[in-house]
Amino acid sequence: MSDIKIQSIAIIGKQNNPLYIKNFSVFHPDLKYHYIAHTSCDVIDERVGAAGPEAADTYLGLLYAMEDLDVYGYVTNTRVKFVVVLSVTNPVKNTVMKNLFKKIHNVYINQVCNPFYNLDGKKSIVSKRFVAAIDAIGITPSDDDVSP
Amino acid sequence: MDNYPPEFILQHVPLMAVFGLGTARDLVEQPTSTTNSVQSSSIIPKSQSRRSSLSAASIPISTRQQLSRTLLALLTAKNQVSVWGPGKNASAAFHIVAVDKNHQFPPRKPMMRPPAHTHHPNMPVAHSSISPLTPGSPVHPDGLIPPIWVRKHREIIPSVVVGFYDLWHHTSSGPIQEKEEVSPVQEPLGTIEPIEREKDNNLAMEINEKRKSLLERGIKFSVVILLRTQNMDKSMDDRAFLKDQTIDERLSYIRKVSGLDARNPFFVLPPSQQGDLHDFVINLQKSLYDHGLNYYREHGKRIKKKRSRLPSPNGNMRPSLSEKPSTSPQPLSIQGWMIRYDYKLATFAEFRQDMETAINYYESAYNLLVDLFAPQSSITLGATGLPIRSRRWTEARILADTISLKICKLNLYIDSPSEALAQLNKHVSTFRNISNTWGIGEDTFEYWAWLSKQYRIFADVLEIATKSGFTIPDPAKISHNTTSSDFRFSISNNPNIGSGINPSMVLQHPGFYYFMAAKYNSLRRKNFLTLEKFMKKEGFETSVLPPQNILEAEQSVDHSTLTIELLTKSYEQFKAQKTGRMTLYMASEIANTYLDAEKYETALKFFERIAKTYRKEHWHTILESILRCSLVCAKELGTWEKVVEYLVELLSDQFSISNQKRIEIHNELMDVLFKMKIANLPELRQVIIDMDEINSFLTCRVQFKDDTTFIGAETLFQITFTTQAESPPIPLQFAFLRFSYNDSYFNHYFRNKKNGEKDNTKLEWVDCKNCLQEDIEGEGLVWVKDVNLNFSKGITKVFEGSIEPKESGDLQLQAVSFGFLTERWKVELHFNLKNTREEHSKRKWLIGDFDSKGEVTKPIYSVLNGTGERTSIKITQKLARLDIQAKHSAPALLDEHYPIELTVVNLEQEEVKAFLNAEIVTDAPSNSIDSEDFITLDPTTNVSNNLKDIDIGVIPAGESVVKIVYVLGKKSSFSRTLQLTVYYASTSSVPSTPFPARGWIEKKEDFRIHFIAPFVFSFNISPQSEIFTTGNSGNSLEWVEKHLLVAKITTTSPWEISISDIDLILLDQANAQTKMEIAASSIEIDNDFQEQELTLMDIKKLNIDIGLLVIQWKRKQQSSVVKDIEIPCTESTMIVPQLIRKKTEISAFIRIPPNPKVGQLFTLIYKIVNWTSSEKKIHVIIEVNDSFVFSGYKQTHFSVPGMGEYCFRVNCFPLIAGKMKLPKVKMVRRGEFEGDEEVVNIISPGYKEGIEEDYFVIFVRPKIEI
Repeated sequence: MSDIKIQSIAIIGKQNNPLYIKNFSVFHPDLKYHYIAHTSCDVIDERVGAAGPEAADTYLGLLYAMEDLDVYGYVTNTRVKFVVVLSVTNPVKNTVMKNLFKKIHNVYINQVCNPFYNLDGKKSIVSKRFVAAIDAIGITPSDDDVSP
Repeated sequence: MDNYPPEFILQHVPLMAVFGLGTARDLVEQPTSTTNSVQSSSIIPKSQSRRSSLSAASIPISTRQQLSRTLLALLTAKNQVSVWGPGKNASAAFHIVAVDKNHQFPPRKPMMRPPAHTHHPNMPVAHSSISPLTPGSPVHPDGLIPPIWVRKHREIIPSVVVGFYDLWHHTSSGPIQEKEEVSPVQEPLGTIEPIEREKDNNLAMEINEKRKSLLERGIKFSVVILLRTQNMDKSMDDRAFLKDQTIDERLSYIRKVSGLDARNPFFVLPPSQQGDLHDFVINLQKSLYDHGLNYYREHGKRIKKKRSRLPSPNGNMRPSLSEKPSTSPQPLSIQGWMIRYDYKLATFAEFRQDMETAINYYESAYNLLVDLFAPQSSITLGATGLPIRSRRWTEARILADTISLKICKLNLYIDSPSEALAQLNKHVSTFRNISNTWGIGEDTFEYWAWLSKQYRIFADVLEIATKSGFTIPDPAKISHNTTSSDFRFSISNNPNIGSGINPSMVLQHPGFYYFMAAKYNSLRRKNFLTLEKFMKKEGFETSVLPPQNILEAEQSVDHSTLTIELLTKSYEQFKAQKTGRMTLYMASEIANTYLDAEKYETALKFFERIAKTYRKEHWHTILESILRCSLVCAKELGTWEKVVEYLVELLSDQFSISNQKRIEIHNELMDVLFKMKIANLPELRQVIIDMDEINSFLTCRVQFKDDTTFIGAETLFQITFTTQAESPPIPLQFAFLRFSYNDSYFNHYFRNKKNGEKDNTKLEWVDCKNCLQEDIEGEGLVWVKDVNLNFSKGITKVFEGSIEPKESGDLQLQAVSFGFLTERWKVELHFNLKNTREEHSKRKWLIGDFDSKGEVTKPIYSVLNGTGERTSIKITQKLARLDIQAKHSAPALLDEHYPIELTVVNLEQEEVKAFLNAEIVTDAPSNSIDSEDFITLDPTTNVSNNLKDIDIGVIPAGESVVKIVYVLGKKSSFSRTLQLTVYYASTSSVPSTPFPARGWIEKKEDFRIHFIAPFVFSFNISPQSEIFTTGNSGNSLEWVEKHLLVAKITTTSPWEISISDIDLILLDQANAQTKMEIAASSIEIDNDFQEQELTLMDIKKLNIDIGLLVIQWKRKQQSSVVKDIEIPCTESTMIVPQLIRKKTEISAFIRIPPNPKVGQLFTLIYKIVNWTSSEKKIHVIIEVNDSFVFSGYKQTHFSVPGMGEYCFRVNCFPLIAGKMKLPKVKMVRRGEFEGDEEVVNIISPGYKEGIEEDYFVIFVRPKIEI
């Protein structure tokens, strides 16, 4: 299942402010993924709202597909949103996406654990460690724990 | 979608033809043959549509023409000419066309079962006029399917024909003619007249003929006989008429003769109302529906047979063609025939609403058709038979597109959205591959135009579908709920994947597809523009160009408008989905398209509208692109104010722009402001940029040092400006800085002072105090100072200023503005401070000062209380720094001059002049006007209950002044409140106006004073003797009663009281010699006896006022407050209770001998006086006690004569020494009858009256004196 190609990873704050958006693609400019991340907020809000306050699953699945890009969403308990954009390939297994999001979530948790990080701030995350970790996820979507 | 032949797109439903009702044109045309006056009132106006004529149909249907019109309107009301049909759930509905009665349906060839004898040697097989085999047909010789074929079945050849006939009657001149004659003749019912029979026969023949001709074509024929109200007895109702034997007989006759058997439905429509007609129309269609479907099924069977007779396409027909490519048209290939038959099969399946079958045949036709385009056909060996851009090629592409659309649509009908989407994807990818081989691939506008069109029609269909009730599955459910009916969306296509999602199988709402269409359309434009550019070059190869007609057509296309239209459609879809951010994205795309199309004004409007949200939600990358685009627009439009605004915002380092780029922006801004000479500009352009509304490179914080301040006090404030780390890239010089207060008096205006030295300090403290008030043009009277307003990146400048408030209230710093002033521009960067801004950090204050050389010292931050900003300060009157203390010896006693020592302490830094107001207020609920309380400075005068404006004098700083006030409380012992007000002013600035006025500082203090009464009185009055004496004149008698008055005065005061005098002031009635003795000369008047003899003047009066007891007293110990001031004695007055006398008949006196001694006999003499004229009997009981022995009877009685006396003696022998109670003698006057008894009161002069059971007590001396 390593044929998924991550185009972009976006972390969006609970007030729908971008925290970190990384473009792994060479075909589209950053702006495109900023737009995608921004438009995803609506779909995520709708999904979360539809699922009700007690929804257990943080993985929201495919948000939408536009042109050659598929947008997947994930929301943490603190309403921080993760958006992953894939280029259209083959059908994607839920577990693969869930694992991918789990990894992003872990990276984010590590960031939040920094006592000097302002949780409510609207500034983008600039931590080098965080950036490196997200890059690692984006460039090599490993599938150690996925058995096809 | 409109570019395709509608026949290929529209939904197919069975066709029904009706005649006998006029044609559809009659519906809209005003009836001209109005012979009836009734009819004229019910004319349907020309302008009215079919639908409105329906609604107006509640009018009674009285004429044949009206009936026809109504029926026709009802029948054609539901004609489905839309793309989206009724679907599988729809009720049986026909497409209904009205034809003339004599309409001849086009003959069909070949016949279903061509009879052998029709085979003519010259015409081997009869073909349809539109068959490829027929010369002159649009598809001759190698076309596939012409739209006209579909139209033939959609609109011309019906599956069912219904004829409407009238039953002849005398009154009707003919069944079809629309003339009416009202017959006055009443026909006898029950018999069939010959003329009726004849007419019926004619009608039957007519029907029969029609039936036969249609039967040949396999078309079902049905008859409706219209019965009329005109030929019935008006008094009879409809039902009765129906049952009429004659009519029944006639109808069955007609049916029999016309050869209509049971399978040919035969209807009779009685005269009826609108509602009934409606039901009839529905029922008519329902009962004929199966016949209609059968018709198409037969057609299908026929075509199937034909298809099965085709030889295999792998035969040698095509290879021969491909080997010898010829420009002359070749007959249709086997594969072409297969497509043709498959398409026909699909169409007929669709006509009979068999969607699954239709999809199968369409798919089959589609696959065969696609193969035709391929360079190497896999079905028919050899090369493609379709040369690019040939007429057949274009037709085939249209056919392929429409078949694909049909498949998508039919899949939506049967509720399999993923198949619909799959077909779209298949179609798109297939033709992408094919197009690339044709040379009209992804780098040509033609391809993108086609692709955009595909997505657009798909979106259109989807939109129509959703409007008609189709629901797009929720993608969230697809991925999560893999076991439900949505199973097929996720894993049925890829069984190995397990739970997951295939994005290409998820049908989304039309907005997405419109957006794709728009995207592709903009690519089409891009490619076309590239091509145009290419064409302008010299020496290009014309062979690569598309044909001239296509180029010309493309040149006339307004790509941008089309793109915007598509985007707007998408925008509306997303708006309907309530995905606001997606609509913003669409709006930004629209704006960009406008920008591309050089419609700058509209573009700018869009950009401005969407920028807000992105700014608010901190999407800076998007905002930057919007700003840049806006900048372009604004420049093009020449709205330089906006240009400045965008440039200022772009300076912010929130946008990740390289430093070089930022410098460019900076320079651009400076150029616009300082260098640019723009024509047609007004003298001075004023721009105010609200920095809170944009991403600002400069932040502004305001702190007042304190939360509150006093009038006249120096109030400090600091305004901190911080530039961003990366911005401004080049130091920026502002021309002025303005602070605007809500009171314009305090407005500050700072001019830039250029100082040559370069300051690299990151943190700078700027002294803005000691401004001078000047009148600046355009600013008014402001506080002015010249300071350095140079800002480079990453610095903080703190401007500290001071103001002296003049009035109390809230003073707010409302706005801070930086400005550029040039010849043409006045640009203000405006920080609005009125709105509260989010700020949670600790308040900080930068301490900066000048050192001895006048240089600013290195500033240090200190922390102030609280968090956030202070943009406003509360100004109050200075707080009174004065203390009032009161010293007194509580509780206060009533009637006394109660001294209170007031100490006023001046805590001010300077000496003050102070005045005192004081008032004493009783807590009693009674109104204060009656209050007899006093407050005075001098105990010898009682003035009023308040003191006003008492001059306390000048109190030096830190010193105090003592003032004694006296309070006198009267009567009630409620608590009093002493209300003190001290107002003062500095001796240096005593206001000229009296208090209360500005300048006076006021201090209020209240003290509670508890009052108690100084004395408690108790009185006892005992009668002593009563006697007649001779008056002074000698000839009058006087009645003298003696009473003993004992007053007990107790003080409740905790303080010792000294009494100077106690006086009994007798009133007139009690003229008495008074003898007063103060038994105890002690100051404590615990027991104070007073003896008085009263001579009563008027014995007739029983109750006598005695007088007042007046006590002169004062505290023994003067209050500690008053040391050297002698307070005069005060006077307390008490009313002595009235003497209550009783009129008695018998008086008894006892004379107690003095000094009885133990062992010495003594005699008690009771003297009983009878004041009446009659004899009274007295009964005496003597009670013995242990103290005395007495001799005589214990009980006895005697009589007292009228106006006489009797002496009763008791001899007593004292036994014990001490205070002894005498043996009690109880005397009772006997009455004349039982119960008339009276205890005689015994009075002992010199003794207090015994109370209750007590008797007189004497002191018995012991025998031997110790």
